Amino acid sequence: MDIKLVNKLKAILRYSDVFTDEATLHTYSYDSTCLEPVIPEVVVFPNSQEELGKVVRVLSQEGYAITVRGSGTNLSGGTIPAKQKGAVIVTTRLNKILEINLDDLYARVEPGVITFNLAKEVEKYGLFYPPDPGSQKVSTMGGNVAENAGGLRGLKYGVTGHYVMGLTFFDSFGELVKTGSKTVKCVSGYNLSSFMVGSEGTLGVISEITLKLIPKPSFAKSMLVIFDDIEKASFSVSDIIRHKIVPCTLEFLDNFTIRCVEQFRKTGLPIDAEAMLLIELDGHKSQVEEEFIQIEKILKKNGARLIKIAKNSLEKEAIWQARRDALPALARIRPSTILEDVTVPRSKIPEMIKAIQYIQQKYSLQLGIFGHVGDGNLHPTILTDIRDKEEFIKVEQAIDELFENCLTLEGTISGEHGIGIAKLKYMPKEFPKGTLVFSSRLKKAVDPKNILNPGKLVFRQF
Amino acid sequence: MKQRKLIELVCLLKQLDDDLIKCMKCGMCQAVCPLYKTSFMEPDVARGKLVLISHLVNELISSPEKVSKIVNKCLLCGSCAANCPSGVDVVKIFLKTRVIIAKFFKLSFVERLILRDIVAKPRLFEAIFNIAARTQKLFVQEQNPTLGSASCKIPFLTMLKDRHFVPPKKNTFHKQMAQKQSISEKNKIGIFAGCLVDKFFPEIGLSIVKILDELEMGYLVPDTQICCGIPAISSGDLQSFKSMVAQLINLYPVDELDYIVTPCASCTSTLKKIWPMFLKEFNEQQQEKILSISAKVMDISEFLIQKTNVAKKFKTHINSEQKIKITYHDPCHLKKSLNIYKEPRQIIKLNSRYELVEMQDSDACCGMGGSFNLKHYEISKEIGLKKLENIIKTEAKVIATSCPACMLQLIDMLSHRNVDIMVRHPIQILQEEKSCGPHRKI
Repeated sequence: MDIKLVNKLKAILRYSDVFTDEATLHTYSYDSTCLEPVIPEVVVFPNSQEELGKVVRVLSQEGYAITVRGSGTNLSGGTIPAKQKGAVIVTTRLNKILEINLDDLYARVEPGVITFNLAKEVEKYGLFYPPDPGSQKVSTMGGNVAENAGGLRGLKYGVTGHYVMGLTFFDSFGELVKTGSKTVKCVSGYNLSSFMVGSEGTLGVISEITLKLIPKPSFAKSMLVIFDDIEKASFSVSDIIRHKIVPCTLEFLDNFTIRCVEQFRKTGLPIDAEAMLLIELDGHKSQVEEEFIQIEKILKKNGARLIKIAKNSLEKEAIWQARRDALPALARIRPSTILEDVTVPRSKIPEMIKAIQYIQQKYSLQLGIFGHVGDGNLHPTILTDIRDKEEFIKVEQAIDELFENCLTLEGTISGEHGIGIAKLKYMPKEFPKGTLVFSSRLKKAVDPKNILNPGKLVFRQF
Repeated sequence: MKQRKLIELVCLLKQLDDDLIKCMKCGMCQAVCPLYKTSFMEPDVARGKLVLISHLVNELISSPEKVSKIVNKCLLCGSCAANCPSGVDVVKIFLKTRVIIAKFFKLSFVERLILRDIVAKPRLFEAIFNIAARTQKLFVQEQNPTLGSASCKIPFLTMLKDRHFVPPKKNTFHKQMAQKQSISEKNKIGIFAGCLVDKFFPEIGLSIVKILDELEMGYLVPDTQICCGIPAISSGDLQSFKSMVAQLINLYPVDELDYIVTPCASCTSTLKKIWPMFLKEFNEQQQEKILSISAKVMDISEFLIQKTNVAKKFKTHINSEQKIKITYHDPCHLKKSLNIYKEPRQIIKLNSRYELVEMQDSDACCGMGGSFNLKHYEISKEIGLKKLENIIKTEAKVIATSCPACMLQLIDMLSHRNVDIMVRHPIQILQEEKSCGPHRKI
């Protein structure tokens, strides 16, 4: 270990905030992606934005590759450290909500604030921070911005990026950069906030985030719908939107997933159903009720077998429990779970589902599909055992084919999980050479030493 | 560690591979781990520990000493397992790892002395407590009479630090019961008080007896108290654990009993969950007894609500204007391990003098974690003080919980802040109704 670096870091941080021992380093060698771990050389825990800046400067001077990590829950390898001279900066202790402004409707937070905690806190004031990624109970805001995290409410409310009004971040030299504003309108200079959103830690180290808040809708209503036919279910989805109704959530579970959930929770879900839709509308009561009647008509017209409307909060809770159970129920079937997030234009959902089913049969895999069908974001979930090398080769081939199909349908290889290491090789398939060259030139200009999360999202040379 | 030893360690840990592989590293355990919330560091949370064990198994780690320390620094509260999307049996993995690791890193002298030479030998254990109870005036000073807490006057007993503890009682539960056994023909209930109730809170045991008398049920209290084994197995001391279990299974005429009830969440969980985990360590005859006891053990509240007519017999309808506010803390070993949380509340509600108010995060760990409290007192206290805040916010006059270990921790926290909130077991709340009449003031 580089004693000089450690001494410099220990001069900035408390002695107990710098780790170089084997065991601790191993606990920062992975994220939630099914990839080989990479052991960093040092792990540091800054306690303030000031310390964060100093740490970035020192690591930059010493030529260390910086991987910033919040709760390490991302699904594309974005927080797996670099293979050489890897340093991990953990932001979990920068977890203060600095301001909730009720007049100008924004919140200022440090990057380590937990998404769910922010949502709960602003709710106390009748405000709403809508993005709700699956990992919201543990994911950090810094990670959400860096990965442009989505969630169940994407269809109506958009994703994390739509709520970022401004940022401060440290560039690859440790220089403080401030971008955006507390105003609704701001066109001063490059839109560097958008530049940082979804950049996966390759352009700067986020130190503070200003987020837009909106008033909390006063009323919400949920329903569960059963179909005997996937195509009818997905046609209904498009039909609802064609009628200018935008539910806040529109989720889908396929037959395999329904069966797993029923086996797991035993609440009497029909195991012969081909598809299940879970729909929630929110807004003013009269509008929600009116739209609900309209939706019911549309669903009946399209051949829904059963429509169950939650009459009270308990029934509503039970409906969403089924959705929350989807991943846990699937995950228990086999030792390993590979969660993908192919996304296509909403109208192409039936074709995408057909393609997934074809791939599942071709490679004879155990695979469940659930996801945010309202925004075209599907989670085909492959159940396997990573120790079974032979099967794993099939899994990898299936994923390749999944992406090819998704691109043919004018979709994207990642709706919300990010590119990281896991999907970098598919980037040339989605974008023309120009896009990749432009991206790598940008990266080179901003990070000439290639020390900000190298190897992720963007090619160094193209 | 020498290469040969390391290989041996890896071989033994390999048996856990099928359990380890289930962790998909989603990190959801970070949301519920009480220890993680004090440090925000991955080695403190289940995912970090599971990865370290599997990196040991996959021969990626060369020095297991620190891994051993990290795996041992855990409350074993099971919050992670109860909330794990893929159902990883975290507690089982950690206990088995501790047992394997203990073969390579010897237990400390104090641990060995306490577990093997004292706790595993019931008579000696009792004799020592007896002396302590009789001579406590010499080294104990009273702290808070409402809570019955005390602290240590003599600085050399460093293990006690600045704890406010409950002094051991001279008259243990089983001694008080020596003259009074009742086995009716109709029902036969074994009472397993657990060491803490036996020695520190005998009044809880007596409450059970009075309630069973009232319900006209027969019961049996053995003439010795033997440890359920959790302190030993938590330290990875399989030898002492086996010795304790082997003695305990012979203490009860299992075949003659309908149920065995306990007022201790940790004991219940140990007998029901941990004993079967280590079944293979015992001979065939012992295995049979272990399974039979494990099947018959019930938490006392669960037993009373499900198997007796306590609700009819004890329900009172006193419309006292000023009800006493009471709040309930869910012991991890009852709610997260056994999913029992309704029954203790039902028991409390039977006493109409009380009004049950829920605290925020009633199932958050109190920070006790048995030996964790002894080894990491400062962290244990930090977690406990968070619990305390939530209790105080309810403005309750009484905090009830179904585990004497949690009670000890709550008393320590309350006494340090000098807060006059009484700590009770739900059973005491129920029995108070019968014995004290409606007008007793708190």
